[in-house]
Amino acid sequence: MPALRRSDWYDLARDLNWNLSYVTEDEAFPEVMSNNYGITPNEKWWGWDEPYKVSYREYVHNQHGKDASVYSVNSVIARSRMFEELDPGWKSAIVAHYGAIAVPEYLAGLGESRMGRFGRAAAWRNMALFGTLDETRHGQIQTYFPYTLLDKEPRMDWAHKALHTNEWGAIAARHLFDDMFTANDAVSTAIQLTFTFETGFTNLQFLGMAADAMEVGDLDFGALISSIQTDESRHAQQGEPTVKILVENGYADVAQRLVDHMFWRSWHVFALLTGLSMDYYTPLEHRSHSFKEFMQEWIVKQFLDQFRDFGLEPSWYWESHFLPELDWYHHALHLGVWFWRPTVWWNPDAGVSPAEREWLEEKYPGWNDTFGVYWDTIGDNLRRGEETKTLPETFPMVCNMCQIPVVTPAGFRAGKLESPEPQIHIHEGRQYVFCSEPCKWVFQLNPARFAGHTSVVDRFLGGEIQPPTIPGALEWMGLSPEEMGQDATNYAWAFEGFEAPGAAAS
Amino acid sequence: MTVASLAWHEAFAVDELWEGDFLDLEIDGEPVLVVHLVGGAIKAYQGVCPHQEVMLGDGDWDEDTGVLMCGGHRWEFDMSAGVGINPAGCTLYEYPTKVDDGVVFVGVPQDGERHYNRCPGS
Repeated sequence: MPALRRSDWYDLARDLNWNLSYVTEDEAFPEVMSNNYGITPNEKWWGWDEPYKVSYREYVHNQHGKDASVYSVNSVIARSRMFEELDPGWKSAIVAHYGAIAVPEYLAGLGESRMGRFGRAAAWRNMALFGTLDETRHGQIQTYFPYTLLDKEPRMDWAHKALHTNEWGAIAARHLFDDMFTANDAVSTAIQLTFTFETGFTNLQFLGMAADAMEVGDLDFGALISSIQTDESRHAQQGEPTVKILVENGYADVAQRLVDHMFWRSWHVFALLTGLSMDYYTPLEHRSHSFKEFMQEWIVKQFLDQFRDFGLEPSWYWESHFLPELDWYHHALHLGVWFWRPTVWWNPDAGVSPAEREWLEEKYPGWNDTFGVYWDTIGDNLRRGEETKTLPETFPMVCNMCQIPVVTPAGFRAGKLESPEPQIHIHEGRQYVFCSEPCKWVFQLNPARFAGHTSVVDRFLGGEIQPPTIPGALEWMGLSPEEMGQDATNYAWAFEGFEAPGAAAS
Repeated sequence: MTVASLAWHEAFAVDELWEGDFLDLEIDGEPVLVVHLVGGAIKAYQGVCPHQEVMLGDGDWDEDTGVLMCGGHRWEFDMSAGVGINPAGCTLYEYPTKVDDGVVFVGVPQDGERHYNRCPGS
């Protein structure tokens, strides 16, 4: 390591900013790649200062150590029976995770590299270079680890496959991540990816998820997530200095809008992936908190602190839409994902055995009366041997923003919404369906950005999916019968406390 | 700050915390990290990171250098003085400590305030 302390030389080596003379600022930093939101000239961005600093030499040294460590763990565990012995619900959680996250990590590398070129200060471009390398590593590592599990779980290939299909969850993930970083400009990416999504959601989630993985005995995944988090925690810190520049230059409203837009979108996909995983897929004995508690204690608290730190306000939908959804939205999604289980690449774990229902009722008072009643009927049908009644015959409406099925009827039934109806919006003669007022609001912020996209249901009704049947749609989604989701425990939960399946059917 | 304004709370016996180790405690309702530095000094600081209030006790601790790295965002603190190394300029709130008859006491100011520093990340 150098003899000088980092602080003695770092700023001098880092701040390679200069005024342009051969080209204009707009030519070097086109708005589509780097929206300055009116903050000109570029010198106003040169005060951008990342809080946590690292030199390239330190970075390479650290990353080498991380890779050596985590690949060693993987190599050793591959020779064990650890994976076979994991809880089926936990396996589902990580199969879902890999499919939804591995390739987007690589795509996040595109967003980082855009900031690495079009970030408006040298310090920022420096940090984004590390971020680019980080995300490339995360894409690689999260396709390699599941690859080593293919002989034990063939659907691990969805780590690579999912984002290349038209599976509805993959479309939802792709739509979100395209908006957030693949097709976003550098300034907006710093606010929406690194400040809102990474600092706000995933860094904290990964901290908790790594601990949960160790708790359930999944050392492989725990080591992986922990290693990724140590990168995420660093490159996520590009967001705060960018917010600060916007606020200092009188553009707090821009920062606020970018955060509000992406917080809502992140929340919905987070509820889909993490909400189901925490409250239904993680083995009961290893749950340290409910999803709602995690959201309140970590995500909500942190955002409120950050809003205060930077002079921003809680989003307009905070009290009216977001906080109420903590009580019902992911429960409704879980019900839908389990019912439409052939449409996903993992095995949804119902997670509603008598003991689990007791836990759900304790964590979400009233759950038995609002969501438990649906599971009562599903359980009755399974015990009568009428599995077909627990499987879909058609498709639900899908939101034209988050691309997640509309579950407002369940929210209405739970007493959290005034109407079961979705939000309907007409734009240039086309009718759009939204699951919520904030999803409609995001669309209205920039209709040109979203108007051309068609949801799975739009495509189904438009004749793009042939034959227009459930099997035709499943094939279109890239799901072969062997890959379609099934109940993770083969309905064992429905028979706990009842007679054995054979006896019930006779 | 006068001694009279402090409430001294018994934390633990000195021999319960070896040199080079730390304890994560809740004292008077506040998260406090007590460090027994190599060399014998005992220091008490706010238990959460001033950046985003992640528990410092969950971080990586190097007893030889006396540097603690927060698990949240890799912020590093020199625990001999409670000062930030990376980033520099961010200081942990330090509680007074005293050892009386082999027992460590932590002093909490009775001023109705929450005792911690916060450093937004920019």
